[in-house]
Amino acid sequence: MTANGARPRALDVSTGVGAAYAARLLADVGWDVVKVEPAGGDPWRHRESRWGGGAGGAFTFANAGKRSVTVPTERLVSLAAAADVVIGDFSETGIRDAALPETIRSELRPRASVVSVTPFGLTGPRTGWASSELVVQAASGLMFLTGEWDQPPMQLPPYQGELNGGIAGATATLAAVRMHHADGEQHDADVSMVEALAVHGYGQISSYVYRGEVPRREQRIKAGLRMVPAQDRFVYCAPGAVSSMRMDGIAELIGEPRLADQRFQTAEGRMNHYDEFVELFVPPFQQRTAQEWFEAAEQMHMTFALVQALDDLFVCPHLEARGFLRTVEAPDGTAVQIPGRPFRLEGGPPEAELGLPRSPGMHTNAVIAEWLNPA
Amino acid sequence: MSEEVAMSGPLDGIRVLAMEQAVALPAATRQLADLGAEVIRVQAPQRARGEDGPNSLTRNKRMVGIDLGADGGAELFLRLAAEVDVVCHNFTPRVVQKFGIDYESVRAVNPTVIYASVTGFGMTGPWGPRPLFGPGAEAVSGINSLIGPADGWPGRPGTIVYADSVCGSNVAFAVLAALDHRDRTGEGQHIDATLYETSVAELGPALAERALGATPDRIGNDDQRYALHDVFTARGLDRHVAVSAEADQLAGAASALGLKGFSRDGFAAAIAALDAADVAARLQDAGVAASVVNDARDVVTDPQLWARGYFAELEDDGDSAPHVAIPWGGGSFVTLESGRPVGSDNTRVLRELAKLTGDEIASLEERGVIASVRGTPRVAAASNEKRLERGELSRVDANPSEWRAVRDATTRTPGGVQ
Repeated sequence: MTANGARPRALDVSTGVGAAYAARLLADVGWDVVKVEPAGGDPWRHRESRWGGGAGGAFTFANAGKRSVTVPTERLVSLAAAADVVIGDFSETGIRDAALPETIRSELRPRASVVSVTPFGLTGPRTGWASSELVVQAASGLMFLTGEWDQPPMQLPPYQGELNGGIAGATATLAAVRMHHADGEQHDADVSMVEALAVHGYGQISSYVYRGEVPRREQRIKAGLRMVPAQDRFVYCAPGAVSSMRMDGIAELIGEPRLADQRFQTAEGRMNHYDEFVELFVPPFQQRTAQEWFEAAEQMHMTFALVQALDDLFVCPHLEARGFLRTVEAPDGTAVQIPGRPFRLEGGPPEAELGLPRSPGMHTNAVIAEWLNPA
Repeated sequence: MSEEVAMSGPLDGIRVLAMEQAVALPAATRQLADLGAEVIRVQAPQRARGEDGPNSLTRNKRMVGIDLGADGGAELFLRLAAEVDVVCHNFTPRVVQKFGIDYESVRAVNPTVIYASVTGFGMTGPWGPRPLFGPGAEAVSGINSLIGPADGWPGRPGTIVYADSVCGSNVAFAVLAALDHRDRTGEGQHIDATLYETSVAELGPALAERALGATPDRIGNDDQRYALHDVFTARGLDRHVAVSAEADQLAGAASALGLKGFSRDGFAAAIAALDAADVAARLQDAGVAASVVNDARDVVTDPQLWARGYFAELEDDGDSAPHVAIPWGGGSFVTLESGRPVGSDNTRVLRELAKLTGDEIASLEERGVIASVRGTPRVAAASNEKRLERGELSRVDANPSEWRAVRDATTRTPGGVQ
């Protein structure tokens, strides 16, 4: 491990989002992170969004706070030996996309760990499966639960498999480093995005294993009524779990006394009188804006929330006060706001300068001088 | 944790004191327990409700019941806080200040402590005092706005604990990073993690894409980067296949299903007549990205997950069952143990950590500072018939133990950290 007080080093040889986000998180907590790019640059510098347009957005988010080098393989192996960890997507596809030699993983000898973040992992019968974010979400078990019960399952927001794989990859890296501290050995990590995402379905897995239940998409019944259309947009209108929903309070808030009826006081009762409940519950929300409902509910100590869109986040006073969004220059020179470190720290390492390597390899000479030829 | 459990994880020797409830923080500390940390869960005995059992967030934790509102409750908490590496809570800022267990108070008794606050909106900022639950965080963060068909209402990400559990994973990372920092510098720190910001971080790429000209919204299962990107319904009850294919893969995808050429309707009709797993296998053989949209049974019997040692088994009442444990795979570093009722470990923890005598512990009990709880009531669920009728459940399997055969037939090549 790096000497006392020095910043630990990570060499990121990935393309895509998952492994890159793992390395970005390490930069967020003070690590010196260097990204190795192919001579033409990571193809994700130009990758568009799910919706079309937005080219380079995912690259910008996942690679902020890193320096970029473009080096031949021999030099990459030398840099790896000067790093604490190497992080990459070492699936067959990941190695090809990053323009690395097929055998690269076995050549890397960082001090503590080689960390791989891939869709299915590097072992098991599906390791070679063709993948995509959609496929990761489907395989994880979470997509089956997303959507309406009488319609096919729905995809989650983009990159949830990649990002959860990234968080898991970053955590695995730190665990591997601790294990290296304990025994001096190299401890490699093999992280699967499917597995990282599947963790969030722990409740459904228990339901099946202990009771044979296969939970279905149920949001209209249990959750659809958590979000109703107000005058201008949707408002989230349930104080916590459905079973603890205070319908007498909500009846007062929205001016519909019939909702205070005993048969609507429990989740079970509401489900048993679902159509009647919806008829009483939904229309009153049209009388005010989401913000007005939100503020009125707050006066009555109910935890409503605004159903925000992405544009709302850019102007959110709370995020601004906490300095959560940071401005970086995207590959095309546009200044964009992206989430900084996902948690605030008091003490600990200062938040990294979130510069983005504007062009591939722009830090090659500086990194070689620092890592391979220290004064 | 029983005394005979030998721990050998990366957090071996690390002690965590967690004043926790709900999901986000308990999910984080469960990960820390799976890495070998000794996690002491503190909660108010009067608020206990069904925390024990094999499938709970309390497994592998020591359970202590302290009433922080009682005279001497906060002092007792601080006495324990002085003896641990990590202190964490998921109260609002107002509550931790009221009880006198905020960062400054804990740091006064433990100067290098790693202190994690896990809240809805954070310890600072204009929305800081507001309470927020996980599903509300999904709404306010923008996650809900991106789920569902273009003409539909905002949707939710499947499990009710998504934002909570994601926040928990971020907190586990933050704690490991803080331990790493402490090892290198000797400094502690205060982690201020929120449901809101960790959820917004999950939309980081989408935010940047928005700033660069994309127009993020609900678009069902579409993705403009692919020629085909959708979920198709297969033969059987609630069976589906997710497929994403580039334009030059469409002919191969059609051929894999026995079709002469690709048309969307023809492709969908072919899948509707086939078994989902068969479709996924055929498409994968043709190099097309496809998977069954796995339900709970599919996940529990997934040969890929068993081959990689993903599940950790928990023995309870002479039976065993698979559980998810470490998000980065390989099961758990410790033997799984069922969650126990609140207060089960009062005596042991107070003797070992706070160095209290039996008389002192008895006095705390008498004064209502500590208590233990037995047989907490659980909320009765509706009958399965009703839940099936309402669409809450897809089906109920009478014998959900096929995972044993998959486990026994699988050669292990574990993932995770080796």
